[in-house]
Amino acid sequence: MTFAPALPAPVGSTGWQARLALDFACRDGRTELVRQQHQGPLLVQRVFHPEPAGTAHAYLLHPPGGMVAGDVLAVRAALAAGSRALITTPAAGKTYRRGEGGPVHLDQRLEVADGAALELLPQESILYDGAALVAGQQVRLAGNAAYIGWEMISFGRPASGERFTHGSLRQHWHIEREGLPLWIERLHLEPEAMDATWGLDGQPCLGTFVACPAPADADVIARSVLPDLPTLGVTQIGEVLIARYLGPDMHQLKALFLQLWQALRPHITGVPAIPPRVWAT
Amino acid sequence: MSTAPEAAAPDTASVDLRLLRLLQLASPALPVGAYAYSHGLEQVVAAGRVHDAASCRHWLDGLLRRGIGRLDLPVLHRLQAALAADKPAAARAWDHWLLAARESAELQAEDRALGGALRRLLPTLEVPVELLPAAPSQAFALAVAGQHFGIAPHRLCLAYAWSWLENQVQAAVKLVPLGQSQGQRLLFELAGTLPALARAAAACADADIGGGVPALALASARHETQYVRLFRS
Repeated sequence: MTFAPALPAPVGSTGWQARLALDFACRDGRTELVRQQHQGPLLVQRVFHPEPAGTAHAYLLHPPGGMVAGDVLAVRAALAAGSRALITTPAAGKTYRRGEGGPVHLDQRLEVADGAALELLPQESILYDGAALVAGQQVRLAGNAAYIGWEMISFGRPASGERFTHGSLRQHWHIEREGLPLWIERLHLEPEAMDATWGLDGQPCLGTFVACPAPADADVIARSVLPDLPTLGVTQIGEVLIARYLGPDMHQLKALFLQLWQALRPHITGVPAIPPRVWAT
Repeated sequence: MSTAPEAAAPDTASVDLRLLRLLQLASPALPVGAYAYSHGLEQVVAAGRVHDAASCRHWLDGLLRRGIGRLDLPVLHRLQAALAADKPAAARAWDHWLLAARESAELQAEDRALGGALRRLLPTLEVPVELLPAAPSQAFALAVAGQHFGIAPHRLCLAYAWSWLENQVQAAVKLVPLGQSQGQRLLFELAGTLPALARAAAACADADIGGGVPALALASARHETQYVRLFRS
């Protein structure tokens, strides 16, 4: 059995240190959470099995409900050969205004063994005005392992008229297969980008959807189920399918990515899409 | 704005020759086919987001400062450092890294096509290309040539950014459209930003490598299904 990589020693910081390591493995046709280590307020209470395929649905619980300056959240997950896990969150992630403690660090490292499928589909992330977030996600795939991930970010709270006038986001997303990089996103955004044509172009909601290994016609499938909107783009680089949204409305973004996930999941992980119950609440 | 004259002392023949090699590598006449790529510009013009000289300048300035300057140039520095230290595996790893960081199929295809064409040309210029894969990033192919000709790393970065900018301005002249003088004025103004960009890229830490041009990623993906297209990206 492969265990999730050891948790790193906490770095000097003033905020919460929350660290979680999860190991999933297949037992009698069902994926179970066979080991969980956690320190600080971050955990999975239990896993659910709403699918015939035995996929473990795990909800990452973060009782503080939001992150403030200096917080460090580290998540490690390892999927043993042939296992299937879908990890999500029960509510939107909130990053509050940066204070004295420096940026919030969210560090996710995922190891997926041959024949396993991991989906990391958190609910949206809201960056309050003044928030500084460094979000890293490293995905290491072995053999023909499958992965679907998305990030949906709201800059400020457009619904209540709050704009993002200061703060920053760093999103570092690396996916590799057998040690070779498949897809890398290094996105560094500051307030200058908010209204710039080359940046967010005045749009507060940014979404990125990634899935692999995608069959050669996955981009055609994706375009066929999505409306043709100026705020939405689909591309496929080799085995990696990428969809991006840059627009005004988080509800629209979530609906579009859900639609895309439902259409693509059978082609990526081989099983039909059954949404986690918590998305309906 | 005028700049101070260059030192009057005559350069040695080898320094002169390095300058000429660099001019040749940066020339728009270099037969790598760059003119076929608009790097997303065709889509943002079609969408009405770039429509005159001012909006074009804003777009290109952002792509230079927050795209090329923060992603391509720091990686080009690392490629050259790896070659100078005789670490071909490290150079290949950065080449993989840069190609994986391309935002869309078209932008990766553009980079590989230009890099592959340069690789095929280099033996004609007596540059050995054994280190290069068949379709490297343009940065990797250029780094190999720069290393062979003994060109200073920051100069090669300037040449890389200049070639990209000159090609974009030529595309803008056709697409926006701009007059030839307007294009030259734009090139003149934006070229003034390149020395500072190249210097900042040389000092960029690994953790700070990263672009911030999400509108380019979206535009480039949308270009793939744009109804009328003159350009391949």
